[in-house]
Amino acid sequence: MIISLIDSVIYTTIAATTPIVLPALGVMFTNFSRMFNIALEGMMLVSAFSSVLIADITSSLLLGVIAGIVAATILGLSIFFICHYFHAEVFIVGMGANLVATGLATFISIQLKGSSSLIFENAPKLERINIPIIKNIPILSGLSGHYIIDYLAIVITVICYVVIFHTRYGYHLRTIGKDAWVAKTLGISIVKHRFISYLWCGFLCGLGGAVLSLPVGVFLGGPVGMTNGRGWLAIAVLCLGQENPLNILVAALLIGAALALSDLLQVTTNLSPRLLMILPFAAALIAIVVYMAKGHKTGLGIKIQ
Amino acid sequence: MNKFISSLKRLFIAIVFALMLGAVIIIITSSKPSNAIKIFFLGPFSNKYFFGNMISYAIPLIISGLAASIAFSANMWNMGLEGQLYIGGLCGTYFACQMSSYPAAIAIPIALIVSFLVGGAIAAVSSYLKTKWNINVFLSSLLIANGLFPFVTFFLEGPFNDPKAGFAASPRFNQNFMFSKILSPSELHSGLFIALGFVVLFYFIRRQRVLGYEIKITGENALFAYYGGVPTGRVEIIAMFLSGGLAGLAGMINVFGSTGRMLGYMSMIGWNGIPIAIIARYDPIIVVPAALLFSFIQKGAEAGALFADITPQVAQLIQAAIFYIITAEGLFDFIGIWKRKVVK
Repeated sequence: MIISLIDSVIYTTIAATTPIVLPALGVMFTNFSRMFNIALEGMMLVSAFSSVLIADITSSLLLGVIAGIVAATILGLSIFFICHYFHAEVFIVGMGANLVATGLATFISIQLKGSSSLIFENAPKLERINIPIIKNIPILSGLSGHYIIDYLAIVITVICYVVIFHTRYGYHLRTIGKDAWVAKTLGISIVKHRFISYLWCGFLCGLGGAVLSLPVGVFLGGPVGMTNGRGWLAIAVLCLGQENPLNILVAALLIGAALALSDLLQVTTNLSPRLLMILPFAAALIAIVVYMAKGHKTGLGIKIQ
Repeated sequence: MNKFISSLKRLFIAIVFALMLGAVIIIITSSKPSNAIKIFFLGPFSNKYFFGNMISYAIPLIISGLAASIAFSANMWNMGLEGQLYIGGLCGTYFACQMSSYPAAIAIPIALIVSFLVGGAIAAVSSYLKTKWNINVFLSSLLIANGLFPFVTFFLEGPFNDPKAGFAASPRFNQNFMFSKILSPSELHSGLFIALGFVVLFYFIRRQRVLGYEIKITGENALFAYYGGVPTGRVEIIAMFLSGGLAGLAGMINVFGSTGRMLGYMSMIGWNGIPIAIIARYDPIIVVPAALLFSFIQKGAEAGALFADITPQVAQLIQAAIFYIITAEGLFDFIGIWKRKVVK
């Protein structure tokens, strides 16, 4: 009984962590390049919408995921271009992008099918992948049976760690993060790195959005929508994990555990599901307060004139 | 004065952009574009009913625009306006329901004050966290607001629900408490005078009072303000308290003015306060026409949905797109309207 409970806690935690750690890594890149992208929520939403739509039309999962990544990247690059070429404030534009994403997804789905929440019956669903030996070991079996994007998320975290700390590109990016002026005098192109960081952010948020909608083949529009605040939780995770992808993964697991707990309590007890939805946000806020009370610095590049 | 003119320019560009975008979207989606465009643009002005509804919709927007202005001018990025509005409306409605037997002259002010205090207290928490542990206001207010939505919806679905409604809504209070209607067939209500009163009050505070000056220099350079003897922590908490309080008040005025009960969905009034404040460059006077612009878009799309084949979600799309364009000052260099602001 207890072992199966631990199993399901581990399983749900990992499943809930993926759509948080991916956008958190994405926003980490934009934070390094000093053009902080807050439109994670919107980028994940357009990705969730277009991936399941394209998967439904073409009945191909791969094309669906690619469509999600492309849609999220386009939204991200629109922020980059309008901020770089027209001197808009990235913060305001990012907020606009969140609302544009909600509006656009709802608008298109109403134009197509007449409802803001859609069920795609023809869309192929992501398969769960069982790892042969681990799935039979009692406590570890929660590690098995996830979707491919969940496994990919862990690999991507390690790749990001290597890229940030062991490549020339990562070194340049961190220099910009420390001091953009110094980087400029060293001859590092800030614009190029900002552009690349928005590509990273689009790719990661695209994957994060696809993992929300593809396993169930459903899209929920409206003001709360499919993402349900995960983009904001990702920014909180960045605040806890700072500049290290591995720390970000740990912080995302913490918030993922809170999400998993709220899911499990919904099933096992008769507490109101609405009240349990508060849990992840409360956990994020308390974690940040504890972290900051120890005298750390946030290092978030949110600066608005 | 220079700043006043530049915010007028911003307003002008927002209007032109919104109308152009609206026309383009309608031409793409509508089957009879010329008719649909005419209804979208002229619908809100066609008769007394639609015109009154447009002004009525702008009333909470004006107040939430003021709420955003006062926090932003102290450089406190209060992103929780929607949550503060939601919980302020809930608590105010609860008090109004409890005081059904009291005369309106006592019950209405108490409900308004309660909503002000609750919204303000919630916003002041973020500000306190900033002063105490240097936690980003943007992040903390967002997380608190995101937690508040399910919290308020829980009450509207459970303990404080009207079973006859069949959806997430509070019971109706004594309907004598509703603000009186001004322009008879329409929904325009006397909350307009409260909103305009706050506009004048905040204009006065911003221009004439020490507090307004302290908020402004704290927003522009907190270190300099501190060096100059301004108690920046206290000023920031006051600005956030006023901001959250106004947001809560906007929620309650919306309940007293048009809905008559607390409804369990996001009205977007709090979110739209943010671009309204930015269009107005935090100037309380310009908040009024900016709020009217947003209300015009909303009501134009609603009229279009009634009399033509416009999807009402067009309004949300245009309002969101205004965010995109409004700070992009470089975009207007080539037409010479705008002198480029030097960005490092």
